[in-house]
Formats: sequence, C-alpha cells, structure tokens
Amino acid sequence: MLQLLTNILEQPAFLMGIISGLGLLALGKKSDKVIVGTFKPILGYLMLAAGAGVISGAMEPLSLMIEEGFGLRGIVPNNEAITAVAQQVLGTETMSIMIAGLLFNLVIARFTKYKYVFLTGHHSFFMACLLAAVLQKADLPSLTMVLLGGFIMGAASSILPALCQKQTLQVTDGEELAMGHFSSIGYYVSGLIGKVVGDKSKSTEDLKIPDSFSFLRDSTIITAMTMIVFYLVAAIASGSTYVEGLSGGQNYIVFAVIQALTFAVGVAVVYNGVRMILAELVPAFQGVSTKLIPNAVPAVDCAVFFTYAPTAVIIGFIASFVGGLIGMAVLGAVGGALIIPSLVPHFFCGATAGIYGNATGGRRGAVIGSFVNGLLLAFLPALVLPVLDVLGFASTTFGDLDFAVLGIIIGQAINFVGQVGVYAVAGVLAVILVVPSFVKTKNKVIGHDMTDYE
Amino acid sequence: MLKIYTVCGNGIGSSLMCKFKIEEICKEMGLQAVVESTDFSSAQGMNADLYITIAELAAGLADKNVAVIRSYTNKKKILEDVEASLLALKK
Repeated sequence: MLQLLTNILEQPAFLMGIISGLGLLALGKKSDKVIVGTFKPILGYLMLAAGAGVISGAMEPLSLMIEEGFGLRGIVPNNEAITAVAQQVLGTETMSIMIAGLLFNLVIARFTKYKYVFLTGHHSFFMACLLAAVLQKADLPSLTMVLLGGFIMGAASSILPALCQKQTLQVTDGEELAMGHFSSIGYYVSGLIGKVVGDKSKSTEDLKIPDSFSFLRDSTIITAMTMIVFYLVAAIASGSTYVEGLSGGQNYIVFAVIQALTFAVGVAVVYNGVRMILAELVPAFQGVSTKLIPNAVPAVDCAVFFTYAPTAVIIGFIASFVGGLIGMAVLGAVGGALIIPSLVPHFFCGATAGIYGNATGGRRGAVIGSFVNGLLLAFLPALVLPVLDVLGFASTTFGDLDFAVLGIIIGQAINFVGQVGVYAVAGVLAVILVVPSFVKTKNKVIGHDMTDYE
Repeated sequence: MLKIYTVCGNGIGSSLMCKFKIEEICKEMGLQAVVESTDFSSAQGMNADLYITIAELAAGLADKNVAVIRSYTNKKKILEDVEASLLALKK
C-alpha cells in the first residue's frame, strides 16, 4: 500500500494533478471544473515528457555533427529543451521545488516589503528545474533540498522583480506591473548602460520598422528557421559521408532539415504541455495572492512589456544577436564550448533589454544595452555548464541570464564548501529579504516608487 | 457559449494574463464565454467567435474576427479596445 502511494507520488504528473485538484476543491469549485483541473496538468506533464523525447532524439545527430565537423562541443541554450529532458531524471524534485517555491513567494510577499507575486509559470518551472539540478551535488536529504530549493526560488521570484522595478516603471510609465522573467539581470544591466551612454529623449519609438518583422514573435517558426541553419552548417561541415552514416543512407541535406524541423516540433509540443499545466496553476496562484496579499504587484512575462516599445523589440533583438555571434566566435577561438546563439533567448531577452535600454537611454541605450546583453547570453550559459553535469546531458543548457547567474553562484558555493554553501546562499537571500522590514524605506513596496507617476 | 481566444507568441505568458482580464470583463458585461489563451501558430487553425491580440500579430489573423489591444494587462485599455467587439457578440 505504502509502496503504491510512493509510486504515485513519485510520478510528477500525478503530483501536479493531485495538488491542482486539491486546490480547486479548496476554492470550492464545481465538480466538472475539479475533474478538468486535475486531468489537464497530468496530461500536460506527460505531453511535456513526450516532447522531451522528440527533442533529445533530434539533438543527438546535431551534437555528433558539430563534434565531427568542428572538433568542439556544441551547445544550444534552450530552456524548454533542458527542462523537458531533465524531467527524465529530476521530475519529482523539480515539481516539489516548484510548488514549495510558489508558496515561499506568497509568504515572502505577505510578510516582507517585497510584494512581488511572480506569475510567469513556465519560468518558475525552469527555475525549479535548475535548482533541482544544481542542488544534486550538495547531496542533501530530499526534504531539506526541496525546502532550501523552494526558498531560494521564492526569494529570487521576489528580489529580482524588485531589482528592476525602478526601470520597469520607466518602461511602463507607472503601471502596477513588475518584470517576472528570469533574465532580469540582463535587463537591469541594459538599463544601467542606457543611463550612462544614451539620451532618453531620442526614443526608438520615433523610428519606423516594417511590419514584416512581426513573424519573429512566432516562436515555433523562429526555432525552426534557426535550427535549419545550424543543422545545415553542421551537416555540411561534417561531410555527406559522415552524416549519411547517421541517417542510414538518407541524403544529408534532407536529413539535416528534417531533424531541425523535428527539434522545433519537440519544442512546440513542450510548450503545449506547459500551457496545459499552467492553465490551471496560474489562475489558482493569482486567486490566492489577490486574497491574501494587499498591495501585491504582479510580476509578469517579458512579452507583456513589448507593447510599450515595439520598435525597441526589433532593434534589441538584432543588437543582442550580433553580441551572441561575437561571443560565440570568442568562445570558439579560446576552445571553450560552442554556445550556438539560439534565436529564442536572443529574441525575448534581447528585445526586453532593448526596451529597458531605450527607457533609460533612447536609441543608443537600446543598441548598446542589448548588445552587452547578447554577450552575456553567450558567456554565462557556458559558465553554468559545469554545475549542470549531473544531468549527464551536455548538448543543451539554460538560455536566460538569471538561471545562469544563480546556477553559477550556488554551484560554486557547493564546490568550495559543500552543503554549507547552500545554507549560506539561502542565508544571504533571507537577510536581503528581511532587512528592509527593519529600516525606514521610501515606499511600502520596495523599489516601487510611484511618486513620479501619480 | 461563445469562444474567445487571447493570442501571443507562445500562448503561455502575455496571453494568459490577458485571458484573466477578458474573463473579468465578460463577467462584468454579463457575457457567457469560454476564454482561452493560445499561441500565434495554433490560433490560425482554430475556430472561435473572437480573437484578441496586439497589432503586430493581428495581420496574420486577417480572415478572423479580431479585436486589437494595446496592452495585455491594463484592464482599462483592454476594455476600451474590446468593448465594441464584445457588444457586437452579445447581440
């Protein structure tokens, strides 16, 4: 009996379903809603696992071709890919940390001056996965690991939106919104650079960009297009004989294109699964937070901010991608891992860096800020690779900057002092969280200074 | 029952936030509707009474009934942008 129960709870899919079902019961929802709300996350999780299979299948020939063609380890930073694939080994840990992290975020918002409620569910999921992977090395008992991981995730979900908030208000012109996207360190840096080098009055929004760039928002299409380019380059570099050995005789160009498109399909399936999980989870989370936390500021996905500066989105993306290419060349030259600039992080993070750079420093701020963001997107995911080794899966990594920064800090802390390192990181975060409660701050919500906008 | 889709690039971030606002607005207007969020590629192959999205994506949904919004999250702006379309559906 106990064995059966453990077996059920060890399935992350069931864990999500049960929690979602219980939550809906507690909210007093009707039985049909409860049934749908229990099944959807379970199906969504299994769909995600299916997508992961597709991605890793398509990824294998790519890394083989890069190794053969360039003699380098080729790595595609893609959050969806690494998280989905990591579920095969760290599913229960990821889901447990995610639930603990969401709860810690609410507790922190309730009791400290960090009143930011992090509503970007897929990023919470990636963060939980990163922490599950990095904390493996510390060899903690599983309950301690979930609690510490959950606390670190909750703290990051509260502190990072606060860090950006002053600039976020400049972007939105004083809306009750915060940045809830774990590449916020890049946006913050871009905003700072903009302030130093730029001129706010020369906004990107006075320029006109043709409508034909709008297809870039469609992430399935841009993933497919980039992957075709990379698979073709790798296939040509490694030669037709080698590739046709992998493909079982299929023409190497055809094989490369099909594998590239299959990769994009895998990512689309993963997104669909994530969508089914979040469709139930996020509304419940938001419902709880509006009831329990007065003055809460919702921290939302970066694409929400695109509407405030659509031209900076395109300029930021291009500048960031150029930065990524230069970064790749530098890493390749020094013989590090080849971080292939994947268009998805450059589009979403580069665009947002452009918006922040524009808000503080106009056109020049947008270009230089997101160029630096692009360089960071090339170097930091490379530095986080060693601490992700436990995944035993080396051809993908986390794309966005906060994952890389937190992963490097925690991973290095564990390398130097072991378990103590994890407690130290959690302790520092706890201090950052509680100190504002004991000193007089200008505002009730830290960082959220609305005086210029009212 | 009416079917409404909110649309963004991935269908999990901005459009989900927007879905909540549209649900609130429909409720206040006394409109019975199922609101769901979706991504741009899937939206093109779906059938709904109304699609709600931003100007950059609306062009790709030209043959559908689309309401163009300026913001995914600002309820006041959203209401201004979708009110006419929702009132038309109510009839």
